[in-house]
Amino acid sequence: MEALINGLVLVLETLVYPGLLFLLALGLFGNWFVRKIVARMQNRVGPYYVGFHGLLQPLYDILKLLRKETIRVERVYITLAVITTAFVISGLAVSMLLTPLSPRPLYAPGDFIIYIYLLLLPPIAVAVAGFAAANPYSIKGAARFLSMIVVIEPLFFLGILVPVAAASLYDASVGYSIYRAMTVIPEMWRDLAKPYWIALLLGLAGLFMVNHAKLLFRPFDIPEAETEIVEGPLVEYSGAAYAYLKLLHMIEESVLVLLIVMLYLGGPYPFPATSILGVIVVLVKYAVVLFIHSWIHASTARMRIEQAVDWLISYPGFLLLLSLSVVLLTYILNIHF
Amino acid sequence: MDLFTMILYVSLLMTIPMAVLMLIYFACSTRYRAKGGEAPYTSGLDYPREDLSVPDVFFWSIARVHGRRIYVFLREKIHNGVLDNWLTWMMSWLVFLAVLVMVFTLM
Repeated sequence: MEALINGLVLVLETLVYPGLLFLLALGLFGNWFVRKIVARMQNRVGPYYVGFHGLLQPLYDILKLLRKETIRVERVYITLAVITTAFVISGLAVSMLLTPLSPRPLYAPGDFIIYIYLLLLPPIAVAVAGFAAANPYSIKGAARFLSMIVVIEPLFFLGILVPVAAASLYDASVGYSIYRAMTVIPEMWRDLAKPYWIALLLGLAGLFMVNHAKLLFRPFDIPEAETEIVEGPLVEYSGAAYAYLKLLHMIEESVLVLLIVMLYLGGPYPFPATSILGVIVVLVKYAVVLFIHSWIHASTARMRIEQAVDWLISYPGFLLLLSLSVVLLTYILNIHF
Repeated sequence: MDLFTMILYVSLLMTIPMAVLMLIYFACSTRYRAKGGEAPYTSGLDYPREDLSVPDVFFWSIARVHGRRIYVFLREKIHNGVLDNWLTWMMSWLVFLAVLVMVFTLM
């Protein structure tokens, strides 16, 4: 009986909070927030008519797309793209169960590998969507996306490894678990005697830049470049399939911004993650991080692919390797002196 | 919970939202399907017509066009024939791997 209840709770968590429905709501809010901020910075009004100050505009857009007919295009494997997208969205929904936002979290020693695996899935869906269409723009966009991903993914891995390794070396009970690491990190920020906080600071800057590129905010919107290759991988999709690909992007955005908030910015600290105040603190930090993304997005111009790759290796790559070195040095010095 | 049980849990739980999403998709796509027997839109006009007709040939056609670009990118960016650049690249990877190995073995 108890096992059945536990199973039902896990299913509810996956589908409602902090899983699919929560991510969906957060993603739609994030989309509205970015559009509104960017519009204000460009002296426009932005979404305005649907809901309070256009708050429901992204939801309306998605519902409208779901009700539109999906145009069948020659040599475009729409179902393949939709299956992959649904798979990836499911992975992102389940990844939230590994964080302290979940009332009954799943955790095990070394589980950060599972978490990273789930968060590395979204580019696969975009690449599959791009290569599943015979349109040259689509394939060009997917090829550009993969070129960027070759650089971005190792850095993203490093951005998660640094705080998890630091937390595991700081407190041996963490044991490379993402949930335990997220609960220990606020303590590490306050412990100024040990320089793990320097590693966290460098890692925060590095992962923020990597996330900015991963989410294709300007200046890294090279794969979709509307004025050049008309949204790249998504060009041949319409109706429900396009709605799913848009939803994937919104959900990925909310998961990656939450990752920064929970892993580096202390999450709900000083409140428990499952309390109302804790969730409010998380949402405020979420909005602040998204505001900085929007600011950069609104005030920069698109780079060329080789510039973006060079930049990513030079700056976030350097910062993240430096932060890993700080973690390591701190650990060695603590042992020997 | 150990890691393998957790992988099992995560894999099983992933099937639930996926089933929900696929149901919604099929419900929407069958309800709002394009009506009439009109021919599908043509795309991929950059590729020869005979290549588009056979999937295998089509994918090789893509590989011929884009594989060359990837090859050029790899050659230009990662190994451009200058020994010094090659050494820097290999050393950076070596340092990265060494750091990773140290992090895991020092535990």
